[in-house]
Amino acid sequence: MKLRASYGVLTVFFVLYFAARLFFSLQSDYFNSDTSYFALREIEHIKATGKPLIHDTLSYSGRDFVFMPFYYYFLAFFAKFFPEVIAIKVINSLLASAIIPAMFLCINKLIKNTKIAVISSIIGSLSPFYITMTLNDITPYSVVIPGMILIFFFFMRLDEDIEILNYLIPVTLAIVISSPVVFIVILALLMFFVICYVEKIAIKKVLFEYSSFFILFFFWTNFILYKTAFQKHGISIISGNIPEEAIRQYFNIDIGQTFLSIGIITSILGIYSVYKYTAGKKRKDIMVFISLFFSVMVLFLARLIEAQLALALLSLSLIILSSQAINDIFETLEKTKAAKYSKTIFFALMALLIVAQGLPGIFAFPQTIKGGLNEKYVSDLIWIKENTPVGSVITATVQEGNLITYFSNRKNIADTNYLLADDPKERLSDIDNIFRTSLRVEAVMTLDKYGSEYILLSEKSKNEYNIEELKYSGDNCFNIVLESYVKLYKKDESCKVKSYEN
Amino acid sequence: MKTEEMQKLVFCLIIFISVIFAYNFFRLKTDNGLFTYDEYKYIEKAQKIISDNYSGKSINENILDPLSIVLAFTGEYKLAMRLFPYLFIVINLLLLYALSRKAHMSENHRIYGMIYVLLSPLFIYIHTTFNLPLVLLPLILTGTLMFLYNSPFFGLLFFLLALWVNPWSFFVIATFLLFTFQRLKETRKGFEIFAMLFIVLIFLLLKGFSLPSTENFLQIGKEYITDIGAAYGIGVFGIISAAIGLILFLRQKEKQTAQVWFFVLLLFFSLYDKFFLVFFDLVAAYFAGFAILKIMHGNWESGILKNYVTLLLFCGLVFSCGSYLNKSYKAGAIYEERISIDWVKTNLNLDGNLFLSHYDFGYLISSSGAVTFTDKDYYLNSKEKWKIIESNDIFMSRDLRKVNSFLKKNDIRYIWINRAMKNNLIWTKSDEGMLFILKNSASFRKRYDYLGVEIWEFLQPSG
Repeated sequence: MKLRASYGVLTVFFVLYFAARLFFSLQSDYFNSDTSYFALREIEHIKATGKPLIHDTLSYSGRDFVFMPFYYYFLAFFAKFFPEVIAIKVINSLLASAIIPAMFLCINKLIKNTKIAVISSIIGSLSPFYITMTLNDITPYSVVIPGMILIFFFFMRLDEDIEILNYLIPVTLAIVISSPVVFIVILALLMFFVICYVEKIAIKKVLFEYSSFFILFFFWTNFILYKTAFQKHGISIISGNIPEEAIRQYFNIDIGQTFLSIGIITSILGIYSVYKYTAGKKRKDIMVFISLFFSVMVLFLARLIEAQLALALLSLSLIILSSQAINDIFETLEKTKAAKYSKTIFFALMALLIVAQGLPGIFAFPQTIKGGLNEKYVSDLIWIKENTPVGSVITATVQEGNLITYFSNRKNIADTNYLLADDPKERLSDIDNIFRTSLRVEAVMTLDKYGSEYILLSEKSKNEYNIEELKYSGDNCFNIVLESYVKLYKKDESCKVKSYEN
Repeated sequence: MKTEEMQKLVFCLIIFISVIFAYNFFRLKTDNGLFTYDEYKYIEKAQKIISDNYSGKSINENILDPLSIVLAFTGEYKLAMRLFPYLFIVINLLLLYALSRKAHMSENHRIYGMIYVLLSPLFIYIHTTFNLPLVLLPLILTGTLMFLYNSPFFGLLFFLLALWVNPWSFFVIATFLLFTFQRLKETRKGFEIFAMLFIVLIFLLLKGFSLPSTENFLQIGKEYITDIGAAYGIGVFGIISAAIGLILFLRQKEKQTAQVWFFVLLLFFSLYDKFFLVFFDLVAAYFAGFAILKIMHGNWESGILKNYVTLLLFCGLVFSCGSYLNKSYKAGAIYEERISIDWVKTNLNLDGNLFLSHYDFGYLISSSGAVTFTDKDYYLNSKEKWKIIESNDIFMSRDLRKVNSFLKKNDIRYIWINRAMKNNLIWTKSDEGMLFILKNSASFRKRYDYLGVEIWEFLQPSG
């Protein structure tokens, strides 16, 4: 395949991929996860005031937020000129589609085989984890993951051409101020230097220079922004101060299913590459991705990063590493008597890869959209806004917290934004208690603790707590004020527990 | 000293004094109070000496605390506490500069090291408050310089003064003396290592071969790094620049390992006692200066990256400094607490009745004439710290019998609670532990409740 032809195929696939993402994400007027609605509030606040929402009176009934603002500003800029949700979905899809050129550049640089590079980048873009995470959500990962892959490409190029810094530095700045998860890159770079030092691989000085710039810039920005959070949470800031129970839920992963989603073939070939280039042949460029693979693995096993993000990065790094293995196999094949069949074998293998690896990704598009918010559910949330007093605290599952603040414009007890939140562990356990307990006194006491008078029983809470209705709701203390797609219970004002005084 | 170098030094000095002056001025203006909790230790003692008309008895009682005696003799001790730091800024900077010249540091290395020192939160801390290292630093630096200038008699004199101010400074003196002898090349090869091991052994012997009290890595960070929450300490970017300097220093072909050993030795002492951190910071300044020197004057393949890295490093140092100034500027003792102490002086019977509070506020409460169950002195110097453990246990207890018997046993009559104690320092909830008992038991009477400060009286139950 000539270079131009491969670029043609790549461009066509990029357009198709972008169109598919857009098509599926525009199927729904809403976003999938609750965190998108936190992002939407931020974007709307930036659009209206030019400043991010730092102190919020609704989340946790009042708390401060801390986050990297660049991504939200970027989307707010477009949302200012075009219809908000559409602009966000289009820009987000475009950013997330950048994974294709980023993967292509990396793989092509690594193996110098455009055919394999094109196919591998297509497979990479169809990683089910990546699609699930970025298809219909406002998440900085849409820009951070392609950005990280691009940084690794520029890093490899830096070894040959110092002028590449003109691109590398702006990408680094943008990525660092988009999300703190780029510490994965720092870990990968450090691991890369350690491996190169141990294996006595010569490294150009400029790579050290760039890495020191990256690390210093990362520390500087993060210490300025997350200083208060660091003082409050200490080392658990890395995992976002997520309570142990919530982490357990995030990491409740089916190993077999995960392995299938990453892909059996790419996993085997990728791990083969890791073995080959650490135990035998030493190559600097491939070490970059081996380091990435190990860094993500370490963070994943230590439960220091989100499982979805870790799995997406693991699958992408394994696809890059497996493309090296495929290239090695064909180079060896060319030297054997089976060389005349190499084309046939190549197409067969590629077809197998696309079927085995690409199909789960293709299925992930409609499946992800199916998991989105329900129209009726949203209208019920809007009903709450119109029919409950301003300042009410609504008790709901933690995954619905951001939805209540966005659609209902009411306070929640807790949501999934745990950083800088007060007592998230206690709040989570209290919410659990409100839904699980059969004792009215206990429920009333817990609700009073947070000044909450409303309990939202949705499909989510029904499934999570395996209940059809609140066990203590059969008297005058709790009245149903909305019975639609969700049930909204209101605690009667006279329903109080006398305080325990001497 | 070259004129250009002199100009740079004077410039640094003026900037630093201006920052400290502005800091004190604004702190005074916002009514945060001029004095920190720890400074009340000197206020209390100086007050006592003055009220006893400088009697021999009161001087003898405070003979091991010469700073309080000196303050008392100034008469206007509060004014002296604010003016002394300015005087010591000039003295300390000049001494440091002279020492850096004797340490054969290049001109740029000296200047960069000095910039690090001036931006160091620790250096700012010792020059914005009245504290032990403020006086110890010039004494030890002068002593060391005297030795380097071959005046051992005067050197010893200054070291003896330092030992009087704080006996633990023996270990700093020993380390600095080792440095001096090494610099004068009066030691044999290997002597430094032997001497250092000997010093460590004595130190451990005095500490009862115990481990540092800080429990884990994060705890060390929270106590020693200002950016992570330490009341005073080193900044994150100070640590980063010193670490870079140390790595670059070790990579040199011709290097003197002595500096590295001193660095390790002072770090070791600092882990046991924060008092040593000031001196560790000086050695860290040597390496940080070295890092900045190598970064700014080294051969970089990329000029852009060199500029960015230098800029980031300086921005980081400025950030740590600014962040510390901002934090300490808001630190207590705040107005609400000071007026509660004034109230204590005039409204409570303090004879033989102890106050219970967090040890951080011990000196402040004592400045009213009251006696406290624990204070910072006890926290820092007690080996077992049983009073701290017991009081923490009582603060978190809801067992009325246990609380009553503890208070009775220790003659505690008053409990002083401020906002910081209610907001995470001890309690996180309004009815947690002892707070619940205070509000709900007849054994306690609220005597004072104004602007977040509460004083409770323990009414001893009969029988």
